[in-house]
Amino acid sequence: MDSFEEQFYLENPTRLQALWRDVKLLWWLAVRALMWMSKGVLVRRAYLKAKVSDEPLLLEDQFPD
Amino acid sequence: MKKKFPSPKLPFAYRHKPVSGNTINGLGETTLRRATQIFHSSGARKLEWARLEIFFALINPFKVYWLNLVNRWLLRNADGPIAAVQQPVVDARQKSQEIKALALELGAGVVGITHLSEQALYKGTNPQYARAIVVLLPMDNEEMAYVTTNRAGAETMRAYMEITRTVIALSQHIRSMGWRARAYCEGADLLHIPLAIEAGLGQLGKHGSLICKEYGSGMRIATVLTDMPLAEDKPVDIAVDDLCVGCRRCTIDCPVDAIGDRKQTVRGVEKWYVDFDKCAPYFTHTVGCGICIEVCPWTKPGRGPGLLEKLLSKRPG
Repeated sequence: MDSFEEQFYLENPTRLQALWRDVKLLWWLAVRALMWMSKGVLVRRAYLKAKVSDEPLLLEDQFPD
Repeated sequence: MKKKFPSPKLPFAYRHKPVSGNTINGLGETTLRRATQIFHSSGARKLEWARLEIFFALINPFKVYWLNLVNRWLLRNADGPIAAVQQPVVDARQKSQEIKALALELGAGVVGITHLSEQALYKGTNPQYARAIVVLLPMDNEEMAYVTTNRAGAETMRAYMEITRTVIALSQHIRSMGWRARAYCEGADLLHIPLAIEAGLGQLGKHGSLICKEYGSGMRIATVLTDMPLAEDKPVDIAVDDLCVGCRRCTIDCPVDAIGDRKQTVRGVEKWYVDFDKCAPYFTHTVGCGICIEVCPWTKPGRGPGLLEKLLSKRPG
């Protein structure tokens, strides 16, 4: 997989390359925004529960491989 | 009055602890080598502490998370079109002065220039540039007084966005003169602190962050890599060690005792080192922590230059 820089930092791009990069980046951002609003809600809810209980939230349970 | 910070007892844990971050960082290693990415991923591969990083991202308040995404959007202009005709640089020293003046005009607080050394790059990354223009931008101290709350987190992201705009505009200007230039902020390819030290902007403090004369550690760092011929600055001695050897403020205030009192050998270099395994989970729990930066005496607004004078006057001879 390419790093963020490798994916979205384009040296001397053509207009078309820059446009395609913008589309891909918008998709990349949308995926992350949706993740905060979906998976994030579950994680934050579980985290709040763990804060008031004695049982710590286990990261492997939240983010299995 | 001593501030109260969140308890070091964490409501989350790993069932199976990952490889120690201190091992990955090369604590105790006597041979010089490049650093390995460990927490802030470039996205190129899954890191050993990836779960903690994702957890950190998802428990961030929406405002901070949103600002981070906006910053990523801005960063699409970190590189871009290069003018076809290259303007020759006759006097590198004069050009450096011009570039620094422009960076200040664009919002930077302090600017320095250095060569791009291999030790400033993470293992596996290889940006091919000759030198680095390192920019510091102060954060709002009044907002940062609220460290460990979302308010300070939002200020950190605001500063990142501002410095991103500065380095992007600077890189665009250099490219408009026909030279390659790429802005780096918040990314995971560069180690900004070693570059800032080499560029004469400050020294490493006991808390593992840069201390610069003007702002202490109350600032953010970003970098423009370029091939433009520029005169380079030299590292400076602003007596940070003189302060850190005797001062225990960050050591005492760190709720998880992550900051040691002695320098340690890390990847072949003796330097101040913060215990990753203690720091990173608490940093996550407090969504950005920043206690050590905030309590550092050098971070108090306007105190730096006077402190430097006092520390130097105490040196023998």
